[in-house]
Amino acid sequence: MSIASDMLRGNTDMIVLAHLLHRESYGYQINKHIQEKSGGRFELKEATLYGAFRRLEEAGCVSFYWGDEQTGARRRYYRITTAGRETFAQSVGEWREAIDLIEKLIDQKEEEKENGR
Amino acid sequence: MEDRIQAHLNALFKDAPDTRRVAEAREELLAGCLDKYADLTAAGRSPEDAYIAVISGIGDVDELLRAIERIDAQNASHSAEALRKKRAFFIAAGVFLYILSLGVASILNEYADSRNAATAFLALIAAGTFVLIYGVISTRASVKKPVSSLTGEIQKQLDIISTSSDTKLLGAVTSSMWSLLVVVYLFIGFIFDWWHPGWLIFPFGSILQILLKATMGKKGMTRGHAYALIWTVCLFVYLLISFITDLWNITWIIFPVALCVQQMARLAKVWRESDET
Repeated sequence: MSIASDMLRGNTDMIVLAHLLHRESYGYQINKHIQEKSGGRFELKEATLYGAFRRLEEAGCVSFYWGDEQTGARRRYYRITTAGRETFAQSVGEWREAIDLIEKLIDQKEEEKENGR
Repeated sequence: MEDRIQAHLNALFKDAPDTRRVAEAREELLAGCLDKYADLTAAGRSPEDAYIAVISGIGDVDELLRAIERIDAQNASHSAEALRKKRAFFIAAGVFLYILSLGVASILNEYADSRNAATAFLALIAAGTFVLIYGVISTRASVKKPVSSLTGEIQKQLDIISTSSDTKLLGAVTSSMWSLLVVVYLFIGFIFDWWHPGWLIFPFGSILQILLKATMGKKGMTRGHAYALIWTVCLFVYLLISFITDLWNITWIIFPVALCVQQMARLAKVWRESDET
């Protein structure tokens, strides 16, 4: 499981963008969504998630606005920008390539075939 | 329990710099924690249990602060770069106006009368000087503004930066004054043929420079400034009166007189100080 959680943390930006593709959202909602989609196995640390928001904001991938919650603290709502959509498409492409490559590198069937010859 | 969460966040942000971005991150984090707490208790968790879950879900705040710090540092270097560009633009525009003033004045002097030429020349010089000084002062103000409110040691360093930017301003003003004087000298030389005694504009420039140093410098009018001022003014007046009246055999008297004035001023000061003690 540690590989999965490392990868999850390393790709927080992409996961956040994926969530924002279809809706505007805020920190806790995104984290809850990740938790539900992973069947309760994963949850990002808040600090990790908000660090990702800062990076995405700075790169122009998301814009934000403050909610008007009356009680407690205001939520910071995020929406994806056109640049964010482009970045997301690009990252997903790179991700698939990387996975493909790793799959090839660790594939045992190929190895067995080669050794058997 | 909300207060407890808030207190915990306060402790986590205790050593964080007091910037807008940090304050926003803190508010966002608080909102997230409160949302989570409300969610967990609504799902039937006990307050204590929910509190522990919320606190342990925060993670490494330093990681977040480092991300913010990086962005702040990047923005600061970007804005310094933009400032340099802006300043370079104003200086180029000012110098361009100076050069333009010479061209326009000589053309007008050729095809119109010399009074129009002088007016256009002075107007363009004034515009150029305005652009130069505005450029230097406006970019200086933004340099001095601290990126965040800082304390102690860093504030001291900012003070050093701001005094050095005062020195820079003085340098900018005096160098633009000298280039202005050169342009004026060339102008009155070419147009009115006042090469002599027009060059007296340079001793006059020295007087202006001493005055600028005395008024804009950190220490104000020092004794060194005062003496330099007396002697430069004397030299200027001596040359000016002598050229105009040609009474060289008598005008030199100004120097012994100035010496007397200086000594008397010194004596007066010594007496005043001894009276006070």
